[in-house]
Amino acid sequence: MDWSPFLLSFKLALLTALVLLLIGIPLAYALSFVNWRGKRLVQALIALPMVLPPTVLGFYFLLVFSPQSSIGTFLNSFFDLQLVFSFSGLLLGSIIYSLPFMVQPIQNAFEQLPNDMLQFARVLGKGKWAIFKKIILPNSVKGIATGLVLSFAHTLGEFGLVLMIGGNIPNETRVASIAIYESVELMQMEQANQYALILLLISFVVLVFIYSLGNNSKRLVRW
Amino acid sequence: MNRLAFNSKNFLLFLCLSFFLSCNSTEQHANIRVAVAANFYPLMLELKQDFEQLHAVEVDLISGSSGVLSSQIRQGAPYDAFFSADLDYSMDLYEDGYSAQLPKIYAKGRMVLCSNTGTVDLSSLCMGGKNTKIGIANPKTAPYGKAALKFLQTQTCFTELEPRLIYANNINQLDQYISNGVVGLGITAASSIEMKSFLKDYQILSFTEGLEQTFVLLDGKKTPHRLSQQFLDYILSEEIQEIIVSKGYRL
Repeated sequence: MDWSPFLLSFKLALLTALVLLLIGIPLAYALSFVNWRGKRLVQALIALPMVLPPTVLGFYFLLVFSPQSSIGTFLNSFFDLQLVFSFSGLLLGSIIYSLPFMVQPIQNAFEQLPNDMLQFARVLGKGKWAIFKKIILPNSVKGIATGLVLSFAHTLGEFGLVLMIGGNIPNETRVASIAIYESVELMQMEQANQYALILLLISFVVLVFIYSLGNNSKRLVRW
Repeated sequence: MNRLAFNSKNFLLFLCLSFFLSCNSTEQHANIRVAVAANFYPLMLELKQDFEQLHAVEVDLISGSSGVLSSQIRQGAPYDAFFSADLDYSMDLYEDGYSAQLPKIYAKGRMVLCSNTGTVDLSSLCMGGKNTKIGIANPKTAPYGKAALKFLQTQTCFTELEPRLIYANNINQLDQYISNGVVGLGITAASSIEMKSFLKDYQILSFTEGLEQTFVLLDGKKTPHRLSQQFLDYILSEEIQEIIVSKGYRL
């Protein structure tokens, strides 16, 4: 069996999740603890990939970054960077596509922190950075872990976007979901079966992990 | 909670590790990327292995309908050569400056009317059950689909046939539809008979013109042209041309 689509999928999902972690925490902080104009608009923008068909995202991505567009030409001539039909393009697309899956769990975690706790710390003379590092982050580990795992899994399952902006290039953009699609087309059912089974298992394990983070036993509703 | 302690040292280690894991790309030897029209893809997979053994080079194949592949090329897909299922798509790319060389014919494709659920009779095409779906490749992107549609339009009963048409993305998807009986009848590439033995009955549409399948060398800047040129020469070599003919194409 050819493992390269899985390696590629994992690499993409891992890098996406890591980059999103760096973007997601400050974003969630700004959305939870700071008041500013246009916050709702930004919130809607971040959530957009959850409802938008991947083809819409893919279409605009192609429009903006194709070598015929001015941005595409600029990136190509100054940074030697091509974002369509390349791994870096997939990475950028996935970061946008999975953004809500990182931001929202972290934001929820931040917003569920007891207000008193943060106010006590403030009264006791701690600075904002110290509060963030010593209180907010450690108490939001579950949310952050959920965000990491969800955005990883969501990227792993990405299909339509990759098909549009990545094509099907071996070791560059042929990720596992695309490999399944192609195997079915070529009637290589055995290979499609193997790929599909592995993805199914991974998705299941990921969800079990997320639900076990919730520590359900303590929160049983009794009546 | 403690097991998942948010320790910045651990976290940094995790970051480094994952970047390391992600970046240790395997040793890259020379490779070329060839976009291949779906009908020729199954055969190309075999030829590629042979070529890779002869030369120390890796050939990455990308399959799709000629129309999809050619628009990918226009949008900047980094392919070194393009094997179209017709002349038009390659010629347009050549005329628009994507290639410096004129397209060359590597095979002539024939079409076949076939079924995996019953017998095929050309004369009964019009009489056939109204529920039998007829599969063709998408005429907007696949030359074989365009030719199939053109053929069907010559039938007197075309207006009755039209609602029964099912469009597949490319020949490989069409063959899958035919093979598992999603469509009772299909008009696909004759090479599919040789490459994938799935048909119950078929009839080669010998009176339709063959599709002149052509390739172009693309002016990709990163891969040396020499290897791609070698690959194209290899495809045109007598020995390989014989194989191509034996797989249901004509020259």
